[in-house]
Amino acid sequence: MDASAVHDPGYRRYEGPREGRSRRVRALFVSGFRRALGIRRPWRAKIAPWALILLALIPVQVFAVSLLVGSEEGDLSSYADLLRDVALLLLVLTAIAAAELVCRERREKTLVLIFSRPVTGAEYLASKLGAVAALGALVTAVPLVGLFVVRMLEADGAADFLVHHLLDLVRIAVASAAVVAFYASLALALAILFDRRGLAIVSTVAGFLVVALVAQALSTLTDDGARWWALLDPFEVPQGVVEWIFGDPPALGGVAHLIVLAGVVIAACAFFLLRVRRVIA
Amino acid sequence: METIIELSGVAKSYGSTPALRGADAEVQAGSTALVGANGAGKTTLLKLLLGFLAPDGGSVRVLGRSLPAQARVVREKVGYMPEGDCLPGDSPAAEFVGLMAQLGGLPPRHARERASELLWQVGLGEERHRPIGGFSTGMKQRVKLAQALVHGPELVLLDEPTDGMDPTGRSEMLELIDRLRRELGVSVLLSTHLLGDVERVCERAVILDAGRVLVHGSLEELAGDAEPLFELDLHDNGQPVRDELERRGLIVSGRNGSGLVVRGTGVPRLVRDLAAERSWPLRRLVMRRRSLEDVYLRLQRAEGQAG
Repeated sequence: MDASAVHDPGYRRYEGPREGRSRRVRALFVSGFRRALGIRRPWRAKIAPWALILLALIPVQVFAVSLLVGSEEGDLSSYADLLRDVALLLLVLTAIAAAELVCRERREKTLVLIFSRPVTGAEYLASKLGAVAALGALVTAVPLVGLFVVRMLEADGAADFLVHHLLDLVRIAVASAAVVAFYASLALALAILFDRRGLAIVSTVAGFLVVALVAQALSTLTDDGARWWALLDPFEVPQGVVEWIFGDPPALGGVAHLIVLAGVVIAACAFFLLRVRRVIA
Repeated sequence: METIIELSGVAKSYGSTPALRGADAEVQAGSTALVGANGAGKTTLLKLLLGFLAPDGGSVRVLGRSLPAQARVVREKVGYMPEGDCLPGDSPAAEFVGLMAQLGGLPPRHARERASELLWQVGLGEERHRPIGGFSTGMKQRVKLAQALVHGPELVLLDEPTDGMDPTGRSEMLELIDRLRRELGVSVLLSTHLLGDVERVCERAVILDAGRVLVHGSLEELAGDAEPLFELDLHDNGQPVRDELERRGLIVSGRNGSGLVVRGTGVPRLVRDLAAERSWPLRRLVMRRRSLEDVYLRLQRAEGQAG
């Protein structure tokens, strides 16, 4: 008798509780977030995400150390500048995470099994976008909150600082959400095109850099280019929104940047849904 | 008996290539085979039954729900085991089957318990925490079956479930599938081109050819839809018997040295009378059950001649 027969409890129908849409989205989100961070995966899968997260935290650590040794307040970066500093790290992290979550499911044809359950395209997108964005928040919101804490500790009265700058925490949340939504949606839209993770990561990072370089090159060809090219530059689009949120609007105004950002996010999500539908059909 | 699948004039093309050309069938609860050669339209039909595709014409209903409009409701009650690779190589089997349970709506604790239970059921209890990538083809097929069942479906669609398995593994898989119906009351639609598998676990069959349903019904009905076959065992080589039966218009073929196969209606009465009258050295006369392969080949030949 084999081992399975010894433990055979007999077939039985499942009669327990059932949950709906939120369970499906949460299950895919948690599974995706863990996978993207390399949790319960070989150590090789943990290196890239954790290295990028630690790199993004370096500026805040430097600020904290400078606070301990009694440095001047002027040494601290602004929230918007800090987000600009981590933009490249965020790009690489979201590219890696999106590829990890989508390309493998495409290549291994797991998508077909996932959609054999009552999972809709929108639920799948929401869970993947949520997982990549949550990972992105670790290199955007976490350093910004760290910077907020450093500022608070540096202020004469921490409690007073907290009361008077509570709105900054809301700005940090909104700015981080806008930036990670932009990077995560684009990274997912590009990742769904590829079976191979490496190809997806290289294409996403190279795509951003090439478009940014082209936008900057275009700006030098026209006198007023310095104004509108920012709306073509994938780094400047979210950065303009961030600067607007923190009270320093870009040349074309924050609304223009916000409209472009929202348009890109919606287009990327729509493209992702179309591609998913094609992959499973 | 409850009808679980209704196809009415279902048509589906990929560009200019028709995959299904007006398929009609009704499938009752129980175990049913979807039989056909490669390219007959089996996989397209399964995708229509899951709502992955919308038909170009006709209607598809599963468990009383129309597809693809009510695909989500149907997928809550249907499990699917696709053909070929579809498993995440670096995920432990229990983790993946647990995720599939949660996608079927089970809370995490119940999902973990069900996943573990199902993996024991399919014979992977000891290996359930190992990454699927290290599994053999047969073990992967078992994981695919476990994930198809973990959310407690009323109907499972199995696409070539014994594909790539060795004879022992194939036999065990068929036993598992047979138990689904007998012990759990889960209806099974088994898509395959292996007619031996069908005869072992299915009560009914839908035979597809070139995008059309040639015939559907119970295996007995399908086998009975032709002139019956009878085997005659004789004490000698049976030449006078053969000559006499052929003279009376029956089709006779030799089975072995002292046996004949006779096709036609009224054979038992005729043989009994002639044997008594002429003292034929008759040892045994039995009706031979027509195999599904006989039926399938006959239908294909008829379809080819009609085409």
